[in-house]
This record gives sequence, structure tokens and C-alpha cells, in this order.
Amino acid sequence: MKEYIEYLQSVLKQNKIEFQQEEEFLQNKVNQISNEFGYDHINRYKRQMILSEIGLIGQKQIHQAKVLIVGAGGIGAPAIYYLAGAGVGTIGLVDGDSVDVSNLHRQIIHNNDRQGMNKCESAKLQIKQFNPLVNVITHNHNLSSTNAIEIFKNYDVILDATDNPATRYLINDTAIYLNKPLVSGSSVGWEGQITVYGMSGPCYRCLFPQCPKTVQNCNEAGVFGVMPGLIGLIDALQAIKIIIGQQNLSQKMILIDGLRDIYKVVKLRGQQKDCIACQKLININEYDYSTFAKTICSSSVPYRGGYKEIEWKDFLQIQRNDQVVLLDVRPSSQYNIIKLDGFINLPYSQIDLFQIEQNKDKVIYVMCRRGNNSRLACEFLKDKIHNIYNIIGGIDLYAKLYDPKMPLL
Amino acid sequence: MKIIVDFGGGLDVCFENKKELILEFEEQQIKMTDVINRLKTLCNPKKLDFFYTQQLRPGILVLINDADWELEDKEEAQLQHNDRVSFISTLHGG
Repeated sequence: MKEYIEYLQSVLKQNKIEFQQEEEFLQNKVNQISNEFGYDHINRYKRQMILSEIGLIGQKQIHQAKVLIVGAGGIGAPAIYYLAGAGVGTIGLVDGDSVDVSNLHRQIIHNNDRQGMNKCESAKLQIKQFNPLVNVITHNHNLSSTNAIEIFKNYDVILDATDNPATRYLINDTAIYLNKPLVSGSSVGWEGQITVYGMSGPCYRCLFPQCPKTVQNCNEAGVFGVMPGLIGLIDALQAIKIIIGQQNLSQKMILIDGLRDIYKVVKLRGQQKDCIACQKLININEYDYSTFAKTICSSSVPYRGGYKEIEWKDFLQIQRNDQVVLLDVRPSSQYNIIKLDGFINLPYSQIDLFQIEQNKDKVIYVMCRRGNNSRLACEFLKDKIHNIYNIIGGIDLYAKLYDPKMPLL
Repeated sequence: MKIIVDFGGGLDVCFENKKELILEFEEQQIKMTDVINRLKTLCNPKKLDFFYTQQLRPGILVLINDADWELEDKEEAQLQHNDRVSFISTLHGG
């Protein structure tokens, strides 16, 4: 009996020591936190802090984290908003672009009064009002191979919310080179894709070692605002989970088709042994990203002869009669929004439906958006129709010259 | 046997805007390369988004039953009746 009491006393003593240690540890934590993470923070974030996966420690990790968002556009806007809401202590923004009214259907962090303002500055103003506890750092210029490493090295997690292949490869290579996790989302039309590169999984180059030489929809692309919005939200979710050490989308990709309500997670290949980014074989400062990522859409279609070309000023002088056909080869979706008098619509994608027999003796003038597809249409028709003209510069040039208020689509 | 093929990232423009095709094969043993050869006959030759100089264009993710075909034998991967093959073009918009 005596032995048993002694045993219990020793257990109690041990418990007391452990309890005191724990109390000291907690007191220590509280002291540390109250310096920069006080009641203001707890009051603001307590609804997520009571989640067991976050707690005080997780919220402090989020507070101390530095997240860089490249692109304050359709995906960046909601990502910035939710990361600021969640309490990411430092948010860096890179964007050289300024706010345009046509951005606002999806880029919800900007607003009507801030048209023309740099997007980083606009987002910073919004965040200051939304959550003053967040420090926003702005880089009001485009990312380039000469500034990427300097900017990225100050951050823990990188978000790619940009809109062109050259920048996507640059962001990938820089993040992988610096061993930073990269959350990468994209969206066009009614679709979206999102994954996490780096960590122990593949990078963008592991999946796509060669840059696509054609990018579909590059002229015709549109986007429904909710889609980049959804992707931006998942971006923010992934970034937070990386910060608090939860599992994430590394080696997995979410594919969303908003029109068909398809939401799926697919499994990706692992890191590739021959990937030049993962092997750190790329000298980022000297790599020519614009040449590497040159796509057919971004370069203009050259004039290869076989038909005639006409400038707007001369075209506007021509006599219009029933022997003249004015053909607009833009997609119908664009033609139906804005068209020029007298032009009929036959999208370039359907140019093979053009009635050759009926029109072969007429004079055909072909116009498109910027003068590229109209050249391709002329090339297609030149052997079948004798008298065919391409109108140089398309409707965009017409608007610039004669109707500056006309919306460019 | 029947294979379901679907297209994402805008590749449906090469197949009369169809986002899903059902391919029927008489053989009971087919490989991915058979599916690709069949698609060559169905693809709009004016569109360069899917086949570019007779090859699958770079920037297309190929999935067999929602898993990257690099995890299997790519062109040589054997397919079963009712398998789903997806061709997803990488998107660039943001």
C-alpha cells in the first residue's frame, strides 16, 4: 500500500512538472504572439482558427507566410481577396497592366473608379480596406527573365495567375529553380485547370516540355467570369494548405468544365528525370522565353501573294454594287456584337462553305479582326476566285482610324 | 469494343465541336495508337490544334481513365472495352 501511494505521488509529481512545462511553453507562445499576432488577429480569424487543422499554430504560419501572385487579373483577383481574408501576412503582386472596364466582369478586386490604374495598386487599395492586417507589396511591372529570381526569392509560395505561355514557363522555371511551391491555374471559355507544381511532383515543363505552337481560341477566346473566379479560389485554397502543411494538388490536376458541370481530379505523371527545369539546367537570366513560346496566333500571317490587298482609305472609296461582295470572316459571336455596314458573315472556320459558283465573277473584299484570318481566307479562295482583296488591318484598324469609340472585341 | 474519347481545353473545335466521341473497334485488343490513328481520320484537317505535322500537338495532356498516359505505356497502352481517353489542351488564360 505504501509503495502504491509513493508510486502515485511520483506520478503526480511528474504530471505537475509536465504541466508546468506545458504552461511555460504556452505562456511563451502567447508572449511571442502578442508581439505581432494579438487579439485583433484572433478576433478576425477565430472562425477558421477553431478548425483543428489550423489552430493557433497554423494561423501563425499563415500570418508569417509570404505569397506572391503573378497576375492581378481574373484568377489573381479572387485569389488575392481570399488569401488576404485568410490572414496571409505578406502578399506580393506582380502586374504591369492597368484596369480596363472590360476586365471588371471577372476581376472583382478592381472597380469602376479605378479604371486606368495599375492593377497591383488597385488591388492594394482594396485589400487595405478589406483587411488592414495584411501587408501588400506591389511590383508594378511585368515579370521578365531578368527580374524574376530577385522577386521570387522573397516569397514562400508562388501563384501563377498569368495569361500567356512565355510567362508561364518563366514562372515555372524560376519557382522550380528556387524550390518554391507553385500553384498554377488557368481558364479560358467555360473551362479551368489547376494544379501545384514543384514540391515532390512534376513541374510545368515535366508535363509540357515543348511549348504548343498553336494556341486555340487565341483570337476568338472569351471567358465567362465565374470560371477564373473558381480557379482563383482553388488557388487560394492550395496556397493555404501548402503553408499549413496539408496535402495538396501536387501530381494531380483539377479540370473543370463549367458548361457541362464536369469537375474532376486527374492523376499526373511524376517528376521527369530529363526535365531541364527540375534538373536546374536553365540559365533563366539568359533564356529567351518569347522565342521559345512563340505561337502561330501571336505572330501575324505574312502576305504570300496570289490575291490583292487594300487599305481602309482606298476601300472606303470603292463603288458598292451587286458585283461586290463584302465578307467578314470573324467568328459569328463577334460579328453579331459589332459589324460594319454591308458586310456579310462567313467565319474563317467555315470558309469552305463559300459559294464559289455564285461569286466567282464578283469582286470579293475580305475583312476580319486584325487582318490575319482574312489573309488565310484569301489564300483559300485565291485559286477559285479571280478578283479578291484582303482589307489590311481588319476591323480593329478601322476602329482606330475612323471610329475610336467602337469597342474592340 | 467501345472507347469513349473526350476533348478539353477547346480541342473539340477539331472534331465538329463535339466534346465527346464514341469510337467502335472491331478488334478486341487495341492500343492508344489505334485510337490516335482513328482520330486522324476524323480530325478537321484545317485545324492545327490537335495534329500538328502529323504528330499530336505539344501542350496536350493525354489521359486514360483520368490518369496521365505517361503513367502507362503511352501509345502502346492497351485499352479495355468502355475505357475513357481524354485529350486536354493546356489553357493559358488567367
